[in-house]
This record gives sequence, C-alpha cells and structure tokens, in this order.
Amino acid sequence: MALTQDWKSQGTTATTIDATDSIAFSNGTFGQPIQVGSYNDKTHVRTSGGTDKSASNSPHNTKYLTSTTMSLNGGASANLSTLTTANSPLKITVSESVNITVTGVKMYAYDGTTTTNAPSGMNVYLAEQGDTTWKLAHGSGNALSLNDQTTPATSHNFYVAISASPTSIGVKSANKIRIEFTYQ
Amino acid sequence: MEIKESKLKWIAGLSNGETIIEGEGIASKVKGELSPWWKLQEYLNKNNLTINSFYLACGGQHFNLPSVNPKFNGEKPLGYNCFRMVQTDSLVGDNSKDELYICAEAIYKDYKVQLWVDEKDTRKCWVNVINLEENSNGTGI
Repeated sequence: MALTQDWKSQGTTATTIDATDSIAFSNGTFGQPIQVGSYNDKTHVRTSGGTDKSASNSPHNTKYLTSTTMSLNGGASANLSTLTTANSPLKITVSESVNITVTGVKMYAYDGTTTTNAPSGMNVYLAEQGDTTWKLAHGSGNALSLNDQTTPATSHNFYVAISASPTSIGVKSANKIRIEFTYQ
Repeated sequence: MEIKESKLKWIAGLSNGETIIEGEGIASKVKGELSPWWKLQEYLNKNNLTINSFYLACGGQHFNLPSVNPKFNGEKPLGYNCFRMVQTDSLVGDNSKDELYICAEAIYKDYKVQLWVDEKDTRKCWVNVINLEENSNGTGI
C-alpha cells in the first residue's frame, strides 16, 4: 500500500471529505452566505454536485472570535486551547502500510493558483488542536505548522480547527487548502 | 487520497561492506513493520555500523551524495538522512498541483547538503545547503 491521506469533517458522525468534495462555510444554513467581515456559523462538506454531504452528521464548527478564542458549535466564547481532538472540525490521517514518522507538517490556504498567494476575498484561520492562538494561514509563507509525530506508526492523526470570513461579496470556491509534510 | 508509490529508491553502502537497497533484504517493506528507513537505522544501531555511501536510484539514474571517500576531493559527511515530501491540494480532484519529492541529506558539523529529486519527473533535481545553526528545525523547509 502506498501512502494515503484521509480528511474527515468530525461531528456527531464523521464525514469523509473526498477528493472532489469541498469544505463549505455558511451563516448557519447550508448554502447561505456569511456576511462580509463575519465568520462561519456552520461548517459543511459539499459534494461536487452542490449537495450537503454532511447534512445528517452535525459537523463541528469552530468560529473565530479573537486571536485566542472561538465559539464551538455556536457556544459561548472559549479559549482556543480548550478544543479537544474529538471536537476539532478536521481530522487528517496520514497512513502507510509500514510504520513511518511524519514531520514538517504545514497547512495553508491560497488562491488556488499560486501557493505563495493569500486566498482571494476571504480570511482563513487555522489552528492545531491544543494551540493557543489562531494562525491567519495565508499562502505558503504564513503556513500553520503542526507538531511532528516522531514515533513510527502506520497511522498519524492531525486535528485542526478552521474558521473563515469573506472580505468581499461572492462565492470563494477557487481558494484551496494545501498541506505539506515529510515522512520516512 | 493515495500518493503514488515512489519510483526512486535509496541505496546505502555500509561500513561492513554491505549494500542495503530500500525495499529489499533487511530494508524490505512489510506491512505492519518499520519503514525501510527506520529498519536501516535499527540495523545500523544493532550492529554498530555506519553508512559509508548513499545515493538515490531510479532505473539507470543515480543521484550520489558525497561518500566517506568522496570523489572530486569533496568533504566527508558525518552522517546521512533521507525522507520524502508531499505537497498536495488535498480537497481537489485535480491532482496536477500535487508534488512529491525525495530528499537525501549528507550531514556535516554545521550544515548539511540536501539532494532533492522530483518523484513525478526524476530528471529534475536540486541541491540545497542548509546552515544548521540558522535553521533550528534543520529541515531547510
């Protein structure tokens, strides 16, 4: 087996985010826009056909409030550092048939064309579970660094909080999230 | 999403005269066991061996790091390292922007020399020199 990576939207039940799916943010209702300057009240997994793949799974939502706080699933302000692995919106698993280490993990959003560019028309904040502050992860030069996993294993899990806010009107579907890591 | 199996293999010449090839012999890839690289490290430690030469191979192409008896009057490394790097737009069906590299490192006292080869186009390689004092994580990336 070759190296695989698996992305899941965690919630009451996990939703696998397949290669042709996307992460969609809304004002609370799938397909409904977030006001410019506001942040996501709901996180969804959207199929390439435009349907809500996670509709019955109640995905966890982390909403940026301040650089160190969040609202989890619409709740009161809480320190970002209190986010648990189980409540993290994204679970990324890197697997191999043999025991590997995974290091140098970086995640960032970009405009979908040039990896050094910021995403177009939106702010994207990322944090690894346990982090105390959000990272405005715009382009490869401002990537979120995740902790190295230096004990060899066939599976490595990374838990990530994500929050987004439009800075202009319109659909922002060209933007992408990129992950980089080394393994041996 | 599955990352394509690597076309490149590392090959290490050991201080006892053995040659270890990634995916073969003591460095074989067996489900549930250590990766070939970590098997090599275990083998070196257990038998008190060191690496004398190290290169990457893809078919007839060889990408050589300086050995302990370097050609062209090069400097003898203190050790070697090797890893692979993935860069991917994970949520996009079009994987044309995915990148996969293998990096072999020759390690010296204050710096290391990195030899990167593009796994998608093995005609492309790059050499980096990383100052270990200035790069706290030592990866150069």
